[in-house]
Amino acid sequence: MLNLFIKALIMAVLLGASVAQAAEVRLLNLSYDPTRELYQEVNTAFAKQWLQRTGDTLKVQQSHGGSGKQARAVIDGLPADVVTLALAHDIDAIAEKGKQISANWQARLPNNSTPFTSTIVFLVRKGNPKAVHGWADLVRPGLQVVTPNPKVSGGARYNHLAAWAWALREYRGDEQLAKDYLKKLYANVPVLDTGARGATLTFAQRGIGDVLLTWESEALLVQRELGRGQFEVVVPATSILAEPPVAVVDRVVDRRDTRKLAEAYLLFLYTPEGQAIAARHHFRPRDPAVAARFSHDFEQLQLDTVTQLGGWKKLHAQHFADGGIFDQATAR
Amino acid sequence: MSIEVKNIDKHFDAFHVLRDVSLRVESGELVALLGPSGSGKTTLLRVIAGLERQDRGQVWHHDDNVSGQPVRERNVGFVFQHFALFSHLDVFENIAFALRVRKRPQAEVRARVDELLRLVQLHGYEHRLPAQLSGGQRQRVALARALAARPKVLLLDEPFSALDAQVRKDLRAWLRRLHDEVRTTCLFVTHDQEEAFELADRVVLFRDGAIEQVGTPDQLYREPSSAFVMKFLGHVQLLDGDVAGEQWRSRDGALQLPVPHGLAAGPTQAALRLHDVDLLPAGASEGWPAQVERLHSSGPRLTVTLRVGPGALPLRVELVGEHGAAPQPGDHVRVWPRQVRFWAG
Amino acid sequence: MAEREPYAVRWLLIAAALLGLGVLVALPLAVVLIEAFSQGWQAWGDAVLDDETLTAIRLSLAVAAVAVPINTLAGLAAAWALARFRFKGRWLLLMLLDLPLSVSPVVSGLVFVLLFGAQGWLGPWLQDHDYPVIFAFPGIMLATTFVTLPLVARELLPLLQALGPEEELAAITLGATPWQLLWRVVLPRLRWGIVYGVILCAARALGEFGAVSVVSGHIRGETNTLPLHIEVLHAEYHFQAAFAAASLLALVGLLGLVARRIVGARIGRAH
Repeated sequence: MLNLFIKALIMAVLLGASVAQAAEVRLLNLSYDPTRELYQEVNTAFAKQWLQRTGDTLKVQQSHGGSGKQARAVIDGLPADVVTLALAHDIDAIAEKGKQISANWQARLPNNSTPFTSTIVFLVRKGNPKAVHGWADLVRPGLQVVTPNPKVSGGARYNHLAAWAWALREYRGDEQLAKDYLKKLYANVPVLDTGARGATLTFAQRGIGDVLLTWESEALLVQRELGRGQFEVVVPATSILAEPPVAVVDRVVDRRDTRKLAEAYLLFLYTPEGQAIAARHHFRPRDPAVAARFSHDFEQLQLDTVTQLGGWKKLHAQHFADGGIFDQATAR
Repeated sequence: MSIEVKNIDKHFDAFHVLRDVSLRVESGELVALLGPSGSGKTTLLRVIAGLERQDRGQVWHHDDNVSGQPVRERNVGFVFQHFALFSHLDVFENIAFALRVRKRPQAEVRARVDELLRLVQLHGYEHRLPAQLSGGQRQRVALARALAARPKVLLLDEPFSALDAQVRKDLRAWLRRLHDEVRTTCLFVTHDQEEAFELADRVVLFRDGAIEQVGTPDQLYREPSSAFVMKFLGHVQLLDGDVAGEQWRSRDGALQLPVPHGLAAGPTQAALRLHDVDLLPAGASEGWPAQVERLHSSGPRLTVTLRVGPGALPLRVELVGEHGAAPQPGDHVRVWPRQVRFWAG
Repeated sequence: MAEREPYAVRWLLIAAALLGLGVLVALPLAVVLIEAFSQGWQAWGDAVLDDETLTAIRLSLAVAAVAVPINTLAGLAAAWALARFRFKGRWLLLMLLDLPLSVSPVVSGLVFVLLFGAQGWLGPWLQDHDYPVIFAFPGIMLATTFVTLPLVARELLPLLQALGPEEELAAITLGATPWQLLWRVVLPRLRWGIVYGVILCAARALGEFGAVSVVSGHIRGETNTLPLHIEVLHAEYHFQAAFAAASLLALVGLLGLVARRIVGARIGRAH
């Protein structure tokens, strides 16, 4: 019986170990929620290129989740070679708290290490029955708005800041009125999911809410994947420029000796091929040529930037830190 | 093999369960540990076996001080109140257990178990499971199992209490015969004085964790050392009163008895054995006037409940054997104790 | 009326119970199976035999294969100690044994992150020696073992208490060593209870989500156990595949239930 137990234990450990050593060359990309489909295609394309270039079989592994949660996992030691998160602040957090990424990461790649951009739009049910056209409509009494929790979700932070930017413009810079607007907005939110994908499923699958605030890419994806004419995308007149950044995790690539591979992987995102894949998955390409080619896929709207609003450091302290504007807006 | 315990003390948390108990049991003796529940008799048995560790004192098996020895090295046979047969093993393997754990050869096991099966009259039952046996049969298997490794001493904890009245009587007589046959030193715990008296060579009477009296059944009956002993042996009634001069007087002053010379004055209990009281006609010149309240017959014994004296003190009298014309409830009679013991206190 | 009322109440209660169970248990189970086979056997087979699903199944089995034996041994030792001995710290052991059941699995997972994470007490040392715990097999195994720790012990403790210590004491007076006591008396008497506990423990280990979710890192094809993989499939809109994988877990659950009924009946008969 004891021998049997020890044998079973050894077998189990071997089995576990074999699971851990399945691939020849391995790269782990830790990403946020709505990029699942994007990176599936990127990984296939890049692996093909890498095989041609080096003869190595490459397996890119993915982990997806709320952007803030994913950053936390890297800080806690998740050995990701690259992180492709929703906002710079989350990568800054890794650089600061975990020191796995060098502080100057954003300067190491073009466009502030942001190969493509996106924005925040509305997804409503077919025929727009609640007649939601802009940010002002979201605070209408009785309307249900679905957005994830900005404490853990990057997408939700953009949602929050897009609403904030609109309100500041609407009320001519009066922060008190803008805060009141957010308070009314969150009063209309029935559930705060932990990630953009969770919020999408809440809205689309479980049928909760009248409006989903989400990434442009996610809204278009839902329309295509689940749509069958059930949903409509509403693009408000103004929104925010979302810049999801990418970075090599220095501590990990140095230990695993994968820096070359990781850097090549991220640079691939900037190539015309990478940019086109991003555009096909509804992310706005930086490359002007590719952007021109896909211009009819993206509506033009006025976009505020995070920098204009004060930068992530200030915005985080003001809005998302404990006791910040989000906490005030959701306090009972 | 003689057994001796010296100055044993044992606490269960705050409860002082054995108080300075010393006792010697001679080789081949059959001794009953008797007492009310909670008086410490079972604990002493378990201390002798090693199932409990004493706080203080020593346990000697013959010339060996086994006070610190673990149970399995003491080689005692222990029979539990509820038999504790191994429910997953058949009769044969139950009895063979002590031999199996000693890794004895199969032939020896076979022979010894056969011998024991015959001794406890269970031949043919060896492949039954305990659940398929009657209570008496289970108890006999438990005995055979305890005897298998030829223990130096056999300890039985309330061995008959879980059995029916009739089975209990049969098994008692059988155990006595068995003991006479194997002559293993034997201690058994019981709260039933009848059982103790019928079986034991000597009886040890416990009270509140200490030994009250040790002796043959006859000694305990004839020379009880205290009112407690008398009362525990049964069929006794204690009357509260006081001794003054040559007289004992009941609390209400209505009843009086002469006392032996030299008995100290002060509060004293008069102990009357129920069958040592005479029932006299109402017109008799001596005795206390009484009225019959109730009659209760149990076979050869008739118990009469009376109210004695002006204070209507309740008193019971037992008439044994032929008692002629029985009194009727309501009858006026007189009663007189033939024999009385006085206990100060 | 007085006699008819309890009758009506009884039927009402039975109907309410059946309705409640139907909506809460039978319906979801039916939905899982219907969705799993919504595109036919072929699609179900493709989903289950998908590389990443197979990896997840292997990982879950490996985790259970470690957690169950450890918990069986630890559970047996703990239950025996608790049932038979009075010792200092007994209440502490009882409390610790209940802890995994009373704290949220997510909290349990976080505790392991705090211990073994890069910012945790042991994390830096582990990382320097290139021995990954959190976000790797050992962490998932530890979290699962922790969450399922009480299951065998909790099964055996009442059984041991009901059986009482007397047979064990009898074995000791008959000269059994502790080892002989264990093999010849304790284990044979507990065998069906152990089987029952093992089934419970295995089912839970295969199905554990919360604690594993925290320590897994959700790396596709590597640290996703079957339940986590189901979540990933669902989040990526592969609903049929998610339900196909879920139907495997449902099957394990149902098998466990049947086995427990059979074993439960055997335990009942042994008394």
